[in-house]
Amino acid sequence: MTDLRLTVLVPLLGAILVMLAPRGERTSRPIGIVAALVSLGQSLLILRDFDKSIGAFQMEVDQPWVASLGIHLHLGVDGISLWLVLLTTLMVFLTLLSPQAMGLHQTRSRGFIAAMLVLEAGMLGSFLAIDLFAFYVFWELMLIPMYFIIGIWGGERRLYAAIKFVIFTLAGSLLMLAAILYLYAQVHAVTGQWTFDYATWASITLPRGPELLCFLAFTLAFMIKVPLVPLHTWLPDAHVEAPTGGSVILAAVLLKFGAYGFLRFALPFFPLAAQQTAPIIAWLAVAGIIFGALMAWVQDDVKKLVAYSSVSHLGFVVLGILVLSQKGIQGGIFQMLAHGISTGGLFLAVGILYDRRHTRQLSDFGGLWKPMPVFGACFLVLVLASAGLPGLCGFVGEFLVLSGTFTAGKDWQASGLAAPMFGHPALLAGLAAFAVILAAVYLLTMFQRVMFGPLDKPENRDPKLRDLGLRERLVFGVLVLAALVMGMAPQPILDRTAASVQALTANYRDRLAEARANPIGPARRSGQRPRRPASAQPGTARPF
Amino acid sequence: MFYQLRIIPLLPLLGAAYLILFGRHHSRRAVHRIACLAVGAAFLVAADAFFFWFPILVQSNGVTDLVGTWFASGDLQVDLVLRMDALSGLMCLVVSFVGTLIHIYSTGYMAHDEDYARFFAYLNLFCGAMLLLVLGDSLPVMFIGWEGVGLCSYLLIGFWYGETANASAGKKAFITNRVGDLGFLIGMFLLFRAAGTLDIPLLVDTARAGSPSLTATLWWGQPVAFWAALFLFMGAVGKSAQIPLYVWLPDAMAGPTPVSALIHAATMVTAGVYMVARLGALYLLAPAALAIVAGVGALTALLAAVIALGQNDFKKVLAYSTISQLGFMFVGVGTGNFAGGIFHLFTHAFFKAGLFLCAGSVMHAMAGSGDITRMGGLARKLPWTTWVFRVCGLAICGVPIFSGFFSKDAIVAGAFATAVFGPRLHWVGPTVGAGLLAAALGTAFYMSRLYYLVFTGECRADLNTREHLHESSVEMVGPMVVLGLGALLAGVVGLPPAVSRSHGDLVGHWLADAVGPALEVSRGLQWRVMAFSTAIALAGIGLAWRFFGGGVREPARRFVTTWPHLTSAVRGKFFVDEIYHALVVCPLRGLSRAFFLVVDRILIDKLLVGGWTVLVDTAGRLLRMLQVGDVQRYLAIFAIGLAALVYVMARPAEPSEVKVRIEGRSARVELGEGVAEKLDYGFDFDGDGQEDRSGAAASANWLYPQPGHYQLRVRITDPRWNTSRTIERTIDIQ
Repeated sequence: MTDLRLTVLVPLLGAILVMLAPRGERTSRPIGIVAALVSLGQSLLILRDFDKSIGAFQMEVDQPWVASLGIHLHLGVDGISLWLVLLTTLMVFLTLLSPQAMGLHQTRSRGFIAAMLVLEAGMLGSFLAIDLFAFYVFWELMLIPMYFIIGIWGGERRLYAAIKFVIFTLAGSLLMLAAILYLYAQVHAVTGQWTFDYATWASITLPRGPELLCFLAFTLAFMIKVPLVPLHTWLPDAHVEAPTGGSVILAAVLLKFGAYGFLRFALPFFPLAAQQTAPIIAWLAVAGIIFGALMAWVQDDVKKLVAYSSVSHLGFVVLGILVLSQKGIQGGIFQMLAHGISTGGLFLAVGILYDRRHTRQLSDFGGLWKPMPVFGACFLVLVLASAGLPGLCGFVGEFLVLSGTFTAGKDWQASGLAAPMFGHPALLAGLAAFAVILAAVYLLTMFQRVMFGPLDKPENRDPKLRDLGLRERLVFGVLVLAALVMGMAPQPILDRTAASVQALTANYRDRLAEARANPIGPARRSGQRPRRPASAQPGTARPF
Repeated sequence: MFYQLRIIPLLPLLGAAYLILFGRHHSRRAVHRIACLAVGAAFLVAADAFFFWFPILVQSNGVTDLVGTWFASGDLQVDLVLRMDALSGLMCLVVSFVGTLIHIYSTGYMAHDEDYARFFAYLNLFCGAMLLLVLGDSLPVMFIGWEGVGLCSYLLIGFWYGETANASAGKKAFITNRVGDLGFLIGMFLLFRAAGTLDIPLLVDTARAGSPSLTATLWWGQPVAFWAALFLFMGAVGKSAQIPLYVWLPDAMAGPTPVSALIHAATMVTAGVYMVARLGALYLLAPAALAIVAGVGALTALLAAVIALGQNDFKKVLAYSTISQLGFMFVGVGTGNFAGGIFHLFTHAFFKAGLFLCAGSVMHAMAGSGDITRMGGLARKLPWTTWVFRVCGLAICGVPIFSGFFSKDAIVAGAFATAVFGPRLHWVGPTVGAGLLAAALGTAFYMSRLYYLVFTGECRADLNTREHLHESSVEMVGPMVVLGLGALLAGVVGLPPAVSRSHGDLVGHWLADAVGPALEVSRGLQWRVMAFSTAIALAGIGLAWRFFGGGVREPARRFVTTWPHLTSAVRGKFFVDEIYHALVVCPLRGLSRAFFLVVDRILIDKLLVGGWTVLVDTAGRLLRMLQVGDVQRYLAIFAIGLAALVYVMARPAEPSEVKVRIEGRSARVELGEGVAEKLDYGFDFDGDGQEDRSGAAASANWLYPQPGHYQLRVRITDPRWNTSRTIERTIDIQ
């Protein structure tokens, strides 16, 4: 049995060790890689011990932290977070392994590696925490190392990008904090306990007005993270300025927190508000899918192009989740993982190009297949995975999301509840499916301008323009293999998410039916099992 | 003998994987041995399976191979399942047989290419994907192959990526195909929503049973089956290069010629026809959709035949010819004559692949040039190629005995005889039939023109090229001859019943279980169509001889000078590419650019996001003006603030409300709470100007002596500020 506390602790310890080690890459990188490898091993152990038939949290550890305020270090994993944890540890490991992680900066590598490990701890903690206080602490913990990674190791406009990133994220998360504090008080009013416990929070039904406000506060934080149009403009800047490693982690993992937050918090806490606003968010997601794709098409900077393609791809994730059906949500989760592999890989590929040529302008490349055939083949697989070619990882998620959206009306009828106020789910799916064409347009245009055409620029003929080295081959090999396996045999992944998603949708429907039955009820508790004995009187532990 | 069907696509896929990973380290000989062996073995396995199971295949649903669940979620389950029935078995044989021949041909054609291993890896990958497409028994599995062949097509068109035009042609092919694939996806979703499954046999059974889930009205008064069929046909239009998505196929000729023969003539482009035949039962539920299929097919057959008349590139002529012939096939399946369409697909695979290999052989001899205005008189230098070209050419022209004659007539006769369109659309059949006859005339003409200009008359090439003219090597000629024999003989499997009583229409019988019973065509109609189409073929050939026999002749020149606009429009392919570019590509790209600059950069980033920063920034600037280090200003602000504070703390207070209670003749006035300070009150109950009660008490009682109207006045004085206020009320005392 694995202890989830260790999972969070190992990268932190690794970071401390890295900082204690002598300056310079020689010693700090091996320590960092080992720490990341141990983390990866731990997440594989979690995968081994995971029981796919259980929808609830598993391997829970509940350690009091600030007991008088009801704050616990309560960790647990379920089908929704399981694969994201694995994705996190894998991508951090590959990033540290990749020689281009720091971009062109070859200095202060010790700090960079430590920052990456702290970031990993924050990400793992956020995925695993089922105590809202702990979640918020980890959530903000992610921000700080990312700020430094962009701000120190970034490109020319790194400070602008770093501050934009922080302010955007903070704006959302502070609203979320306000909502968390309000909920904390509400939970106390209803249950008589001061607690941040996830299960207790998820059993509270709020009055209509506050529910909507809290939902919007949470949603705003998540929409900024995803990001949904029109809250996306921090993303291209952050991606372009961040060093390769930062971009990879940003795309592969950090953006997923938006979608994860919807699944973990926004839907279970505020079912009615989610139901009411789902159509709006779904339309925003479709707008993002089309908009991001069109924007990607006209970019001249490879990195910006990939960044905008992220906006488009993550629109699918949000659309799938907001459709509120088994297919949609499972597809959304799969799409998160697939996007992590393919877009994370694309950013690594852009990092290679930047490393070799010190430019990211499409017009500066051309004909690179000739000097870099191995890189070309890996790049092509990742491009095709991103374009959703069946047999590679991008297809399954998109297919499930689209078919879930297309059949949303029927699914909701079958579940006995009126559909969310989607005018035409089929129309939503039809419009979103245009991304199938647009993705081919912008990705193949990019690929052609980089790899095909005559090798006519003297810089591109430089003998220093070498193909992938050994470490790079290892990194890309893992990613290409992951893209292939996830595309050919996605079922093991879907199997392990099924029970949790089923529990989520079932609980959601129950809560919704209940809320419908009591339209304007006061704040109430709806769970059947009280978490503590009923003798606990209100006011026994007043924190303030 | 027991086979798992998965072996058939797996062999070439494994070959491709091996060549991609290790091909660069092997010699040319090892590379082409591995590649040819992978495909050849797939052909042998497929052939053995097909003939071993033949009785089962033609009398039942065939054999299946369930590899496992690909993915499942909620009510959606997609199995990785393969099926060989008569239809998919026949396709399997065609694909692997032609594939093997073209692998062998390529060992000669590509012998001097430096990317030898990459070429064969792609070619193997293509064969694997195509076999998966053919054998896949569930629409998503078919879709893997469907997109997989599209990918290989992309890679092979752009094989010589050093030239931007080649890479662009590949990209255009992929994107145009993706437009169709959007339709394929939506068609799948529609079928899944209606029938709850994507397994082809289940869908076909549902459709054959005429299930209400498929016949229910969906949009615009048309049933689900119509829309699903139409959207799936959109996929077929993309893959099989029909109007309006045919534009990628002529450009696809940028790829190596063996690729054009295999992918863009014999196999991949026929996938759309195959898919429609596979889901024939669904199409039969929607006559309007069938009419659209047949109409698009006939229009494409005509248009492409006309454009082919004016092309001067060997491969471009063949490309338009392929588009045109695919139109014939769509008319076949679109008139419910599925066996006829597949029969033409079968014969076409031989004669068109043969023609392309001839083109490759000629271009090989001509140092890579495909310009037919520079050729002529090649028959003497390339005897084998010429003979194969003659056989295949006569087959495509529809001259009796050759295979194309029988398959084309099966389609044309079927179009005249069909009854699938029902009473309202009955005119569709004869109309498309007539259209095909016109297209057949064009076919005979352009193909003969090609023959005369290339192989007869005087050679118009420059001296250097002329000296190097040579017949191709044996590994190239061998496959050509085999395909030529196929073009000659393939017709025997589908002889019209009118010709052979006992062995007539074998294909129709074989496919009866897979695609439904063959179309009944009366004997008289069969003879009439045969006679008429023979006349048309001979007329086309004769006319072409008048115009081009032995080189461009006087009538052809006269025609050009008489109809200059017409000929330039035909030569310019009716400028469809330019129109698409101006109407679709440019506006969309312009729109994206404008959106990026206006919406993304200015509206969102500058105004929406920047607006907040400006707001905060301005507030900061304004507040900063208060903090400039000027003590007098600080003192002034301090004084103003203090005064404001004092005023707020000590401003005149007022009661919040005045309550008057009347009981009989007694009245009580109470001034509301909320007044902390000591105030002075005066009460005048009878309105005589005299205060009846006064003092610090905030309430007072009064007993009226008699009923009546009274004016009540309350005075409130704040002694600190010496302000006073009067409240008046009128009260009624009974």
